[in-house]
Amino acid sequence: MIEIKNISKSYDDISALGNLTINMREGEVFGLVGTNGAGKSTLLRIMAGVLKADCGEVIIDGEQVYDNPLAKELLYMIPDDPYYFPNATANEMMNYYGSVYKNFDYDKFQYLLQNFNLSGNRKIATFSKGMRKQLAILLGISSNTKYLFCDETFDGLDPVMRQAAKMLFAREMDERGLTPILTSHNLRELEDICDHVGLLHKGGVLLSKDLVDMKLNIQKVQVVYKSVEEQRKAESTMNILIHEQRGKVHVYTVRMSLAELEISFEHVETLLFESLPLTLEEIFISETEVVGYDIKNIIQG
Amino acid sequence: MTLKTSSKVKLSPQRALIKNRTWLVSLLSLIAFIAYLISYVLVLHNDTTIGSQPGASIENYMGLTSGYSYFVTTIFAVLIGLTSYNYLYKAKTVDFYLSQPVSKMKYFVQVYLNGLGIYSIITGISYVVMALIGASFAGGLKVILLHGLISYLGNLVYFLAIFSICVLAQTISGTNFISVMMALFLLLAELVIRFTLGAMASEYFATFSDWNGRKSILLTSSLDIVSSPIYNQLMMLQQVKLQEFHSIFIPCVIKNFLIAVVAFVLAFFAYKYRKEEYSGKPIVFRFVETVLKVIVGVVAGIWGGYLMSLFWDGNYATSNVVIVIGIILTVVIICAIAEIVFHLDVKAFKRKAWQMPIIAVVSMVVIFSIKYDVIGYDHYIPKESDVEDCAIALTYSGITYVTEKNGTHTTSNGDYAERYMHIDDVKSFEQIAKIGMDTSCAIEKGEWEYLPEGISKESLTSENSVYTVELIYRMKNGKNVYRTVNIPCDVSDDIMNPVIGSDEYKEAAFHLSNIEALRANAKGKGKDTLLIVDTGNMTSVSESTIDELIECYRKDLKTYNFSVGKNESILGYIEYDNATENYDYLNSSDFTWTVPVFESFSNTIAFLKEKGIYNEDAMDAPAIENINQMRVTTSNVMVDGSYIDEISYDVLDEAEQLEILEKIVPENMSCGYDFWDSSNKYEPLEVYIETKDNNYYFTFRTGNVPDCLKEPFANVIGH
Repeated sequence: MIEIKNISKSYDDISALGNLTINMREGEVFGLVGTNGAGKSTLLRIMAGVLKADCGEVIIDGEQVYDNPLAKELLYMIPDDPYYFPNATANEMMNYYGSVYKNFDYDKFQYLLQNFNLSGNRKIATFSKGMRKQLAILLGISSNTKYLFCDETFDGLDPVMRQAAKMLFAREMDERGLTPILTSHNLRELEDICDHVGLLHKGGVLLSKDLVDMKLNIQKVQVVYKSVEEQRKAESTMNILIHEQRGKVHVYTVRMSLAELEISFEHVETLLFESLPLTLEEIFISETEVVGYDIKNIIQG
Repeated sequence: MTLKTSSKVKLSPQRALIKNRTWLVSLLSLIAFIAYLISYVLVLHNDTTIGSQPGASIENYMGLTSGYSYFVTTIFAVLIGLTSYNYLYKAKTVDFYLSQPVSKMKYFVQVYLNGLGIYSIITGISYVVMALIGASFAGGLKVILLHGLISYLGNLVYFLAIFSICVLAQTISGTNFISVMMALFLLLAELVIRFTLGAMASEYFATFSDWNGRKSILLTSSLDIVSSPIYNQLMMLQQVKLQEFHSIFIPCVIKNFLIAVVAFVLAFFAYKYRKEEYSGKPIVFRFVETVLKVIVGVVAGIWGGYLMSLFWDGNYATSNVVIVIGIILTVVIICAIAEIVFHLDVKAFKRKAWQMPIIAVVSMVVIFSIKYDVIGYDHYIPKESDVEDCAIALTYSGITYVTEKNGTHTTSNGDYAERYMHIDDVKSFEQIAKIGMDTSCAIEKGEWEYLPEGISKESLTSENSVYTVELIYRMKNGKNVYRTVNIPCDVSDDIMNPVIGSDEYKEAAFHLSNIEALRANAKGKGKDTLLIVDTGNMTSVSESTIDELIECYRKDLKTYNFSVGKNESILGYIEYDNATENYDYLNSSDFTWTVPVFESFSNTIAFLKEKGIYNEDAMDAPAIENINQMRVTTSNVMVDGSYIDEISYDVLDEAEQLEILEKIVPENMSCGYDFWDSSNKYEPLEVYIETKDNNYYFTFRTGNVPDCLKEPFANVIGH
């Protein structure tokens, strides 16, 4: 488990993180979302032990992470722009990482290289940006660390590669309990992979919840009432977050379970009552509008 | 999942580092190949002594006294040092290295050792190959290897010092450009500061000594803080020709080692405490910005004020205003530039403007403290009880090549005096020193109130009115104090005689201190010859002849003192020479001993006569009946600040010739300048006499010009 307690970090007069506390459980995919400058990369770098927090602590499986090789053996960080030695090939980077991470799996790496159609003997400098990111993911997976930090790694991958990477993560999680921590400024990127999502804004956590919990407690319905009175009756029993009306069609986003919602409409006469799927974006917007933030711009990237 | 078998190569951290620095290793190998091997082969090819001293070739070329080897080592150290930690300057590489499961400080040490390893291996291989090449020319592989090993170790310590400083520069900087500037600053700051203080002292101190670069700015101090290995090495190379090698080299190595240790420790802590997010920021630690700005600002301010004053043609007092203006302008510009560089932002020029007046004031304090001699440099006379012994030599000294067994040589009378003269009558010496210092202050700074009693201002305003001498006090704490002073030519003999008449002075001034050692070193290699300079007669002599000559000369010196040198004519010079066929003063056993023979040197004269080398005719004037021509001319006369055209007078009248013959004395020939060689002894007139068989040159003692010449040379006599 990764425990982040009261982390603050400033760059001279600029506060990047302010008293941030968040926990990341093992065996889950944790997604960190926020706009540029929210503090995602800073947080990830602190978690990887690259930066030292001004105050607070980051503990990985009971070990402080900063300048602690024992803790760093448990993690592998993939930055948004990975670094490779000048004129190095994939195999040379493999050899280097093999000397650094004692559990590095050379065979797995070669297998993955083949499957992803990357050449082990070609200079990485000739790779495209996407290929460099793919290679970084393969090296990270092959390092066999418990935690994998990916800083906007999926941004910039084509849909096929993105899907392949997600499948890879899923398999690693299943086979050896990998715990990926992903950051992105695009919620849609994280939607179908993350189990837990945290929203960062201006150095603080606005929201941190399990996706399942979020989806259970927020519903979206489309309703056409028989009469205005029926509308009033229904609305009086609902905890409405968002209400949109297009003609006679009412679309509600409500903070209620599905069962509770159905009970609310049991005695309401409607011409149309339909439950709609909620996107992660809509859930976030709903959640954060409650606390006064208009985050449409934040999460739509 | 089917796993393909792959070849895996685990890399040790050092191997990984080497792989990542392949370009550096290749470049350094190329430099080593050219600088060490190719150049060495070329040197050996032209080395004619290689057969006799196989170790000498590698010692001379790459040895501990070879400036070239230290230059190459400096290049290595800077290249390795300034490329070791520049991964700290980009967030990308910081993320790469610091996210890995390696302790931050362990990685620091690994990289440091990697740099040391690269140098050690490349240079070690080069030295071994050089030894093999040297041995192939002249044999003596073991000797060459031993010399090579010693050189290698000496250079290694020097490398460590430069390398550690470059590493320190890297760890306190945030960009490549700034780290290079920082390294230059750390390596050269001491040189620049010492040079600045030396330049100001040279300009404003009346008794400042710049004798072969040996300066003492502070009076005496047992504290010798050295921060720059480059400065340390330059001083060692400069002083090694004067003193025993081990007494200079070992302290130099110790200082370099200490510099290396201190720089490493500072770099270690700078690396530990630097914030990784500062990659890309010019200076990582705020206080370093302030230190840099103050040092650079003060030094620049001093130069700005000084240089502006050079263009000022006003008086001493108003030049102070110009100095202040120069300092202020320079400090403002430098501080602005510094802030722009620190923040990489032109608009940052006015940041911390409050530091400018402080820096300007410090510059003013330094320069005016020197200008007005706040520390009392120009009147400093050490306590007699603190002085071990002293030396004195005239500054305008001829070049004297004197070689010794260990290969060191002196190049001037001043060097020789520093090496061999140990006058222990400190009290008398200090009397002379006081007169000299007071006279210098009077002449150079207009402090006429310090003029010694009995000396008039008018007597000091003409040319050749003073002896300019170097004084050395050897202090009991091991330090030397140097001063250059002006002693009036009409100083009392009673003051000068105790020192100039002392055995310690004479042994050194007449180059007798090491004559036995030189002769022992030259034994069997060259041929002893004796030359009487005034006649040009050179003759080969036996070893026993020279023994006797030296004995006679020493006897005559017993009666020599300042009065003798000032008043007696020099009859001629004897030049004893022991030279090999190749006659190379600097690198062989060849040497020359040239000394004057005064009228009162009866033992020496008798000895020369006995040996048939003394030519009476050359000393005495020819008989009038033998004279074919007599002409009197002026010789380099300066009147009222400018040289006058030559005046020539043919003496045709026999009565005038007789009058002249009665008063002429042998013309003074130069054999190295000392108190005896005062041109005040003689008039600036040359008497040329041609006989059937010979030509002669004479002159007149000061104030003893024949009446017949007073009118034609009225403008010249007495100048």
